[in-house]
This record gives sequence, C-alpha cells and structure tokens, in this order.
Amino acid sequence: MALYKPSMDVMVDSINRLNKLDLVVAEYVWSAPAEVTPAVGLLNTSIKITAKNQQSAYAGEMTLRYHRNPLSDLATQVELIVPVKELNTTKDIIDAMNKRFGTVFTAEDIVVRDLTTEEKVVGTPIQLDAVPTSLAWIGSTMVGTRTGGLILGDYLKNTRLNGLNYPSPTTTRPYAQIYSYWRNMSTSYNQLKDIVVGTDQLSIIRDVLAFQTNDPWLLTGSGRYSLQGAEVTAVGLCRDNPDISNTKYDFFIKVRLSDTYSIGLTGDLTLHFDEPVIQA
Amino acid sequence: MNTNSERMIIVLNDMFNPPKEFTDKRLAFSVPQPTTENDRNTLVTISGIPGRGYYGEVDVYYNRMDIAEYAPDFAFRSLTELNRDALTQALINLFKIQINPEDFVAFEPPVLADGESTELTMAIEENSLQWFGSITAALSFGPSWLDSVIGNADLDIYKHPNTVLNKQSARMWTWGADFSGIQAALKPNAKGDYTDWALVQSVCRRMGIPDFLKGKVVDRATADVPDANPAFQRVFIQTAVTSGQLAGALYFHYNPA
Repeated sequence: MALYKPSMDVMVDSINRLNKLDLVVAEYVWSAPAEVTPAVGLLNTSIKITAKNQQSAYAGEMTLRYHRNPLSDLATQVELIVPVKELNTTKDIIDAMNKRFGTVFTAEDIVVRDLTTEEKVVGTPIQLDAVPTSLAWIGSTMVGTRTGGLILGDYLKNTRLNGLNYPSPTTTRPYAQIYSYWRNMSTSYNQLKDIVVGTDQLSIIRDVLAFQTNDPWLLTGSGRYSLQGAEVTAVGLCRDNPDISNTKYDFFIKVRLSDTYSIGLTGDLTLHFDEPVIQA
Repeated sequence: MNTNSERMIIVLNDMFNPPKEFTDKRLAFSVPQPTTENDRNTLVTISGIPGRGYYGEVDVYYNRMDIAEYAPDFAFRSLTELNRDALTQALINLFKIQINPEDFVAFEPPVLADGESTELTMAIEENSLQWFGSITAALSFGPSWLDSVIGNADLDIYKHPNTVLNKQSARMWTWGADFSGIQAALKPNAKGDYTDWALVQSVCRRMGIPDFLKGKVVDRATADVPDANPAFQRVFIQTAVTSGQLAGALYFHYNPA
C-alpha cells in the first residue's frame, strides 16, 4: 500500500463507511466526475453512480459530492523532483513519482504522452496534466527530474573483476617495473656496472636476470620472459633519477621490453644494484 | 441524532439570552395536544422536574410538522429490511429531515416475496413532540434504491499525507528512498536517538530534505506499520518531528544488512 490509496477504493470505502453499506464497485456504472460550480466548501466534484442491472445489490442512481485535488497541491507536500533512469513518456515520470513519493497515479489519472526532445533531457521540468476523467485529480503541475534511481546491481553486472591494473596499462601483463623494482642485484655488480644504453649487451642482462630471478629469461623468441626486441633505455644513479628508480639503491638500468615479444611483462624492467663493499 | 425532546430543549434555550440552562434532566414534556390557540397547532405542558432547579408547569404553544408535507410519495424497496428503522433511515436520506424511528407507531414489517409490493401507513406517535400526521409508504421487495440508503452523499475523501499549512510531508520526502546504507547510523542508541546523528543529518541534507531536529527513533517491520513502504523490510520511524518545513513522522526504510 502506498501513501495515497487507489482512488476508487477510497471512494467506495467512504460511501460504505458513512452509510453502513456494502456497495461493490463492479455492480454500478460510475459517471465521469463533473465539476461542481461554485464549489460547496471543499466539495468541487460530483459523480453519479447508477445500478448496472437487477443483480446489483441496490437499484436506481445517486449523485455524490467530494473533493478532487489539484495536482499542483503535490508541490506543497514535497519538493517535486524525481530520480529517473530514462525519459520517453510521462509514464516514466508517473512511475518514478509512485516509487519515490508513494502516489498511486495511473494512466487514468495523468495524461500519458511522448516527451519532446527538450523534455527528454534530464533536468528539464515536465508538465503533468490530470486526465479530465480522473477520479481524484484535476489541473496540472510541473515536475523536475534528476538522474537517479539507478539500481547498482542493474549496472554493475560483471562482478568478477580483472584485478587492479596499476601501474600496468594492460590487464593481462603485469608491469615489468613491479617485477624488478624490489630486487637487489648487487651480487651481479661486476656484470652490470659497464652496461650502456642500447641493445648490444642484452645477453649480459639475460644472464643476470636468469641468475637473480630464477625465471627462464630468453634472448630470442616471444615468451613470458623474453628480451627479444628489448633495449636498454637508461642507466645511471638512482639519486639523480628518483622518479624512475628505487633510491634505496645506488645504480639502475632501465630495460624497455618489446610489446610484441614480451608476452608476460609489459613496460620497463628496472634493475637496481649497489657496489658491494669488499670485506677486507 | 438528537431526539425530539433534545430538539425542543435547543429551541427553548435559543429563546433566551442569557440562557436558562434548560436540559432534559430538568424539564419534562407532556403529550402534545392539537390546538388552534396563539396561531400554533400544538400545545405542550412543560413541567420542572423536582429537585433539578425548576418547579411548576407552563403551557407552551408551537407548531409540529406534518410528515405528509415533508415526505410525500415515499417509496421504499429492500431485499432484507422492511422494518421501522430502515424505513426511517430512508426518509432521512431521501428528504433530509430529522426524525427518529420512535416517532412512528410501531408496525409489523410486511413479509413480501420477490416482485411483491404493498402499501403501509406509517403513523406518527401521538407523543411525538416534532411531528404529526401519517404517510403511506409504497413498499416493495427488491434492491433498495441507492438514494434511500445513501444519506451521506458528501464524501470527505482524497486527503494529502500532510494537511498542516505551509509544511511538507516528511513521509513523502523519504517514501521511496533506500536507507539501508546508513542503517547503522539510523539505529536507535541506548538513549533512543540516532546512533550517528551527524551522518543522518548530512545524508538528509544532501538529499535536500528540509532540516529537522533529532528525536526518539524506533525500529519496526514494515509489515507492522500500515503506512510504511512495503518495498522494504524494515523502517526506522521518528514520530515527533520538529521542523520549520516538515510535518508528520519521518520514515527511513531499509533492508537489514
């Protein structure tokens, strides 16, 4: 049950309660509501009920008076801005209002129409008009819209995530820097100390990597640990290059892996090492 | 509904200012008599009930009403209730008169079969202070006429959730919102307040809900609260809401984590 109750239920309940009757809606013809002019107090509407046939519990006809609410009253009840997912017809607004505010509007209460191109832009106020034969409502009102009412589960459908890819740009290949950043390769100082920028000394790099990591590094061919197409792009002192190296160490060598042949790692390997202290 | 004597008391009290404070505990009425004196059709003797403030008797002249003038052509149809109470109620509904079943001489309800009809004379009791005469009712067996059973044709319906002037409905503001995400903050603490009022307040402000003061909050199943939103399982309710712009209780619906 919503905050507002279905109009016909309210009407029949009221007739029955006030007069100690048990009218059944289906046994009577309910006329279209008519305006009472001038209104008698709050009574601005009349409706005529007529018995349908001999099977009706009561016979004849009767005119009742009651109060129809202007739609504009709603703006006195609450700030009329509804969250909407998409906007095509006024029914989208009606549904959103029913869900958000506890109204029970149907197509018999509010004119369902296609929205104009301008109105379909979320945030544009939309005019709702009461259907002239609406039992409980008259007039019109403006309703604002905002994006919302999105159910997380409707949108976040794939719940099996690929993992955090920072700082690798791809989801399947970890960033090479992570693989090498923390490794202390000082025990290979003698081999690494003379490495220069270029591709000439990759075999030394391969030997050191294989020794330091115990992974099967290759010079040729594509593979998880491949140096084919790789290039030493920088060598130097870590303290001078804190942005690209681990300053815990003295020296670094940066090796750009090939995007084509290195199918296990991506980006730059950074090899760090210190000059070992020779024990006397 | 007022009885005849109560209506007479009202008439008597209306006559005098300052009022004489007549009540039916203090006055008794005789059986009314037809008369032509004083240009009135009825004479009744009113006597003070001893020990209640007034004593003695006064003859009062007034006009009783002829039922035949007020309720001509009375036809009544019913499937179940061809009795004095139902007939009187139908007279009230149809002719908008004030009359009580006791104003009529008791009669045996006729027994009619489907389609049968009869005429019944309904005579006013001689001690009726308000009415005299009689009418002939055309009774038949069948569905009652709607206008004879619906006396209250002005319906007091289609109310908004809030009827306090210049305030908005607190319940409409939060009706469809899912507060499951802050249920720990809404939960009543040992004092019955919100556990984390600062968070509740900031969320409500972010939603645009007008400011309100915190108050006692209770936790209920929506099934137990007739006006709660059944789309949710439970609801925190702040019944007493102090606010410049909101009226009524605040409902925070949620589904338990």
